[in-house]
Amino acid sequence: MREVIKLGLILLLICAVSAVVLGLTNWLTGDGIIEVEENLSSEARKGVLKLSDTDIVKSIDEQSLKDIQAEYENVLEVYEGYTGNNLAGYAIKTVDFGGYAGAIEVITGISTDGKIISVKVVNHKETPGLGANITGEGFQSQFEGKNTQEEIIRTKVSPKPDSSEIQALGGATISCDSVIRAVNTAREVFNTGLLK
Amino acid sequence: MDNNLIASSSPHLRSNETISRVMLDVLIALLPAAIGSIWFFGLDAVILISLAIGAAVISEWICQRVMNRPVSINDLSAAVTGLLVAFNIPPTAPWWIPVIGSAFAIIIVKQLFGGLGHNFMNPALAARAMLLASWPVTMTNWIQPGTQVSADAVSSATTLAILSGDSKAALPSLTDVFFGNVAGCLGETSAFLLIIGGIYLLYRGVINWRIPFTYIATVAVFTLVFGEAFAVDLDPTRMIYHILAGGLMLGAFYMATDYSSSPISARGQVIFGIGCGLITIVIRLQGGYPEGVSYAILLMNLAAPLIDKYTKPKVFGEVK
Amino acid sequence: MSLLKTFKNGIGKENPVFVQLLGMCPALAVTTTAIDGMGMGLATTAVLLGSNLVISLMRNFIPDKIRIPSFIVVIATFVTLIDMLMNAYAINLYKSLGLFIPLIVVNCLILGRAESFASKNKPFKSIIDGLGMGIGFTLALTILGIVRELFGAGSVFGLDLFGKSFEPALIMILPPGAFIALGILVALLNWFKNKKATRA
Repeated sequence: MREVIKLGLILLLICAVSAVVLGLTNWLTGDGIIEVEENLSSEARKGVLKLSDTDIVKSIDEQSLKDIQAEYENVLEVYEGYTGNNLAGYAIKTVDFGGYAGAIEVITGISTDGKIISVKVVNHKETPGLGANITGEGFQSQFEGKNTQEEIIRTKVSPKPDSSEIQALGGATISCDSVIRAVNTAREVFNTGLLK
Repeated sequence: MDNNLIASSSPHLRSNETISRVMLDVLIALLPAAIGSIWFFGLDAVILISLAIGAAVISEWICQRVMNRPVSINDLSAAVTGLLVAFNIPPTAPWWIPVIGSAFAIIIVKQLFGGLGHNFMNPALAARAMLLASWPVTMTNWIQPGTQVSADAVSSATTLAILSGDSKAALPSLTDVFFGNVAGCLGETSAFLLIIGGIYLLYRGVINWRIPFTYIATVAVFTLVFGEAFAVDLDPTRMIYHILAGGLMLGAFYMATDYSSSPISARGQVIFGIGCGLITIVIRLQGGYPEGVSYAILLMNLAAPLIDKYTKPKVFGEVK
Repeated sequence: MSLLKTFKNGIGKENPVFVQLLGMCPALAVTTTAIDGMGMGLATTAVLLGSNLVISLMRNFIPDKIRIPSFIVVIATFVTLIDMLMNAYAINLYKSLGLFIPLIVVNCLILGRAESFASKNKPFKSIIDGLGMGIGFTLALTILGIVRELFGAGSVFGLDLFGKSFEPALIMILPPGAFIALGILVALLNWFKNKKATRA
């Protein structure tokens, strides 16, 4: 019995020291981590809105976000981007669960006059070399300038200019369809009434 | 032959069956399909077949020299593998596809695992799987027979792709599918020419009827009853399409029957054939790919030692 | 064994990946690019150094009966430390390595060295062993990463080497390619070793 207590106490001691060390590190790095993560996300948001580093992006208020999410459950975040004091557009982060390997998260930047500024895939598990090419310039740049009034659809051949068609990547139709659905969700959210 | 005085125990059987004789028979059996592929796809077929066979033979020579093993390219087994690799690639493939495929099949799948008779997987099919995983777009770029490969050539769909709903094109006629006037890999399109070769192989005793017969019969039975996504309805036409289209004929007669990667016992071979058939139709009807023959055979290759273990014939008098 | 021999042991003779075949999971999973392989190797080295040192210092204090749980707590502490530090100061590498950073805990290499070396040797020697093994691991992962990235994406450390017309073999950045590449590398190394042995 005494040996078990002794062993238990030694383990307790080791775990206690470990806990103290980790707690200390957490306290020291905690803020840094939050800041770094925020920077990454805000960089992505500013990127889709084509804002500069000094412009500000902030989230819409919680209630409005909840209302939007009640209607469109695949909306994750909605941010407003300002150049100076003027509202430049919205960065809407949506998710689509129909990707080849699961969920794909996309941030869509839409300007106040109803045009898609650009699109960025921020999270996915698609196959490298095939579906993973949705993060590439070749695919994402097709969304730029599209009108939010029309639904975006996928074609396999070259899309007609000035239309709402996006050409799918060879061998990655499912991944492309998923991104298009996510962008369409963002588009519909914009159309419902974010225009203030 | 190196050894004229052989000291071993009975039985001593005399036969003029040598490895090169068997391999020559396989090459002869594949000849109609090879000529067919040149007829359908022209110069591209000639180039690809030559590159594949050449690369296979050269790879084997290099590998055996480097590994200090006796050079055995004369037994024609490398040539057969090369030809089968060529049969598994589309006519639009660039020159480096058959070269890399053959090199992979011979060096990695065959020689590194012990050479002829030691490969645990069909080398040509393993090469095809590797090529498909590495260059998926290049390996699925089909054209209609008779058209040239050019920059504006519109990519066609294979019969199986149409059957599985991947393509909305019109289904080719049964005669086209039977004789091979359809889009597909070089050697798989003509069921007719492949069957001729298969009958020759059966006649010469190179292959046993069990594997091809059970394989094709299983596919036939299931596609008679089940449709896309295993919808149940009786459709004999669909069954005939499934038997003739894709790589089933090529796989059943020439690939699944590879000696070292298939079971030895008779019962084992039947199980093997049925297993190949089952996996093929699951992939074709339910899985994400329109064609399932190569993966079915490769998976059953992996199971062959297990099948052999459980279908060992009983030895009477053996003490447990 | 002299200190130099201990150090060189981890890099060559008992290389964790190519000889001992330990730590296969990160070796195969994160080596899709050379930089990820190197990053994982360095993170593992950091954990290895820390855990070897602490376990060696405590080797007379930990009773034999509870040594495995004690080792694991120490190793897990260092892994969590590295995880938090990477999250704060090396965010890009952190994102690409993702789930595999916490998985360093179950890397057999670290527990293996703790059990077979650090618990039986003095601290300074243990550090040298940890360093040697860690560098050997990093070297192995970097080489594997370079091979896979070169053939699977046409680049090395992000630098595009071949231009647009090169069609890389996608299989190399997928799991089958990892196994094939590792197998070929181990085979080549064994071949050279045997040649050296027969020549000597």
